[in-house]
Amino acid sequence: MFGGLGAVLFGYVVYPFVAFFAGTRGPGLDAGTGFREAVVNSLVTAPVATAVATVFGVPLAYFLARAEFRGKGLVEALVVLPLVLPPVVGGAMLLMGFGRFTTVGSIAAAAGVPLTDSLVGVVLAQTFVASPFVVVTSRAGFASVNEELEHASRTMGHGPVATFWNVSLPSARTAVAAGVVLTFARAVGEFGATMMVAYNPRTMPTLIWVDFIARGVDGVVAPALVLIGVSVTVIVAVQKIETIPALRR
Amino acid sequence: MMLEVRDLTKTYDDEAAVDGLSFTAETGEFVTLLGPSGCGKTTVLKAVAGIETPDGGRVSLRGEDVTDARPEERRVGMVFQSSSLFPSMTVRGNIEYALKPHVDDADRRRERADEVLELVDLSGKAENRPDSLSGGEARRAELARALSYEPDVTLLDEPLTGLDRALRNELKDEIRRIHDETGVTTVLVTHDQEEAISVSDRVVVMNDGRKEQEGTPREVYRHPRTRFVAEFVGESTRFDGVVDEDGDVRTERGTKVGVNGRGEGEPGDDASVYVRPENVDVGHSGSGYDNAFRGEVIEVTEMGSYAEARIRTSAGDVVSKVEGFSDVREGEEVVVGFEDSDAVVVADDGNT
Repeated sequence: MFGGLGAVLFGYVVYPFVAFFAGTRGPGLDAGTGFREAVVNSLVTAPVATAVATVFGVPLAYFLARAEFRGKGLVEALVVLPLVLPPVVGGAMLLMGFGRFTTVGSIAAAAGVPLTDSLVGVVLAQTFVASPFVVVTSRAGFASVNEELEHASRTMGHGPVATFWNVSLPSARTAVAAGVVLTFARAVGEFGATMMVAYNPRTMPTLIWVDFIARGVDGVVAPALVLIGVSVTVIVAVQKIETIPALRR
Repeated sequence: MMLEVRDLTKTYDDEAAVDGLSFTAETGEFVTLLGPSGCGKTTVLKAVAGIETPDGGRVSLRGEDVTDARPEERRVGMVFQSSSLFPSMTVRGNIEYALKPHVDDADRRRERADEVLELVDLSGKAENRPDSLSGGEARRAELARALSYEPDVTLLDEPLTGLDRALRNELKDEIRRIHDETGVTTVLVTHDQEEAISVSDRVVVMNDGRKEQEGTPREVYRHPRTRFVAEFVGESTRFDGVVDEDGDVRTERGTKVGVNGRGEGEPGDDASVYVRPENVDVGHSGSGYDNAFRGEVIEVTEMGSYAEARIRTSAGDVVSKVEGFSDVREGEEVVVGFEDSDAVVVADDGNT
């Protein structure tokens, strides 16, 4: 029964893949201009955005899982807001906050780090849209860690940071890893906000859009294949790492 | 003085979990906080460990105030109610991790881990993962871990809960033996009065966040000072009545229960007399006892080495502990007798 119901959704998800590759004339050799550059840009920005989201998002997730304070519900709602916001709206907000003519944006541009139409802009957009995944997933992971393990570690003489690294994080690692994967997957495929903040330099999703406008569905095949390849590789790699016993501590 | 808790108060959502509790533990002493679940005893333990921040009161260790100190600064070892072994580490790994802040040399940590594993008789399980241990082994491993770095005080939160009876008795003896071998000041929290009485030097009976009575197991068992202690610690037959002119207690049915004039308070005050089943004899004459009531045996519950007989008398139902499978039979007419010195009187103002 579960398998049957699941098969319906699985079939629905797989069907477009099949239709897409069956209906095109194949990628051919005429990959559009800027293809290689877009691949490199995506492979640089998505990991950076994932790293930024993880470095700041995992501590935030831990804090939200443990701390009690007034207005916590509001903070939690704001953290997941980018998930429900249409990415284009997120992009518009980022433009209002970091655009060329804003205070922050102009200072950064004067310092030689433009926050829009740059790789930094791409990272900003990807981080904004993708970070909720690592925060929400990690938070659930930390919440399910028996707090007495942490208390035990503290009474033994370990400080909060050592306790986090040695006890909390290893216990929640599956959830955190899942959050990192989801964040990366969301970041590498991010289009809506990226398009608003940094239409150039092109990433794979923006290139796919440009190629689609210029040449229709056939133009999409090559970059789409690469994008799928990258995502699948990362997801499989993370699953592998998760099952290596030495890394499971 | 190793540990001093003074006027400790902790409130959760407007409800006082601990309400002005004070107690102390001398160096090397084994003190037990005994009370029903929800009486605040675990909160007290966590406040001593620094895991809970009290709303009021002070906690001192080694004579210094540690109320605001962090758990890692307190030099206590704690065994938690639920298993708190780190699931990703082996048993030895757990102990070595506990030793890390205290012993710099890795070889020395390993040696020490082996020592404490031997102390709790768990040497063969050093390389096991926690999830492969039985309930009793897990508790012993936690005990070893908490003792490994030689804390000044060990705090044991219901360490025997969830174990079967035989294992509980075995581990109870082991906890006392380890205490005697190491000489570490120990505070145990339990709801089990037998456990408290058999392992402790001193028992603090708690109810509703407050201290009901503090004393040696003997004092708490033999001379309960409140109704709560009389009823929570051990079994008793209870006679309700009022204090009469002689200082004895007269029950509602007019039967006089002699307590040698110890029924304090004014004549007419409500009071209860408690007598332990083992102090009540069942016979046929009743002569020679300060209190003797004629009655009928209405129930005999065999427990093996002893039996509990319930006898319906003019003073109410009386429970007596008799020899197991003896000739005391249900329906038999008997006389129950007990000495007034074995009876405990609690008047309603809570004083003896």
